Amino acid sequence: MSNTMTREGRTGRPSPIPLPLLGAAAAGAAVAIGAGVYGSVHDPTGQQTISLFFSSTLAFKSWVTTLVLGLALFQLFTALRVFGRIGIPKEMPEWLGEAHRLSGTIILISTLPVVYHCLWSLGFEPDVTDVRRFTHSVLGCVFYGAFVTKIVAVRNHSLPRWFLPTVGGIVFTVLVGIWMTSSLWYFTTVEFPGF
Amino acid sequence: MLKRIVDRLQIVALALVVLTIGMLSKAGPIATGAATVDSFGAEVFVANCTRCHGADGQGGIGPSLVSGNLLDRFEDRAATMAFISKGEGEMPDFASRLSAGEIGAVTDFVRKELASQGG
Repeated sequence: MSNTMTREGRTGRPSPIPLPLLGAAAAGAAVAIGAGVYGSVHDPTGQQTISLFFSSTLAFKSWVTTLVLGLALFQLFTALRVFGRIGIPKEMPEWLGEAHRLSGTIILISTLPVVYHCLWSLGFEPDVTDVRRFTHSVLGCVFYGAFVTKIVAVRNHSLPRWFLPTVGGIVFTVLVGIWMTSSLWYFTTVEFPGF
Repeated sequence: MLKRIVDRLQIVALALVVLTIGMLSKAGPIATGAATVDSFGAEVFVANCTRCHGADGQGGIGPSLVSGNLLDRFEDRAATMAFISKGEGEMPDFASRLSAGEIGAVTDFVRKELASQGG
């Protein structure tokens, strides 16, 4: 009886999965798969792209990804405060929500030259024995998929309350993995600070 | 005020996303320089080396192969083949991926077609 209540709700009918939830997840999946397919079928050029004032594109990407990780930490902190999971600061500033949006927007813009070089110049690494590159390739695709899912979900208030924090957590966790398989590798294997 | 700035920045971000997708949709110049040389060694090079050393061997993540430094570092064919086979640092171990014939072919291509350009 209690099992029926838990799984099927008080009416006895199965709880439907909200259509917007499926839509957000499908949009993210499409982006992740699209990035992976593009990276696999496109002939990698192997060329350097943007490097700004850094010594190489790889150095540029390593530092941009580190900046993005810092902004993601700020996103995590502001999200926890907005959802009332932490009490610091005691009184939530009015601008905190907008600061959260601003940092998210800067993250998206900052990652564009990085993903451009990854996809156009390097491509998707299909060789599972090359653990770092393979993991990085997969996580890169998942990151953009989860990011798109989060963008779609944040504008839809009919989704379950757990959905947005969960997707946000996935985005953050994947980003940490991306940083570890790229920037951390670069700083510890190639050079640091490597400007 | 901040909301207005973020709103506008998000429009810029959307435009940049579209621009990036548009740039990605353009085919990369893989079929230039080395890739147009009709030889087995060039094929092996394009399939395995351009990702790090660039389409023309001009360098990328890996060092340039057209600077002439390669001929200074590896004085003969055998030394070059040994390096490609065993790898070192970020240079992968190609003995597990390529046959001896392929490594020989790409060695000849790199030494004769690319490294010799650097003088």
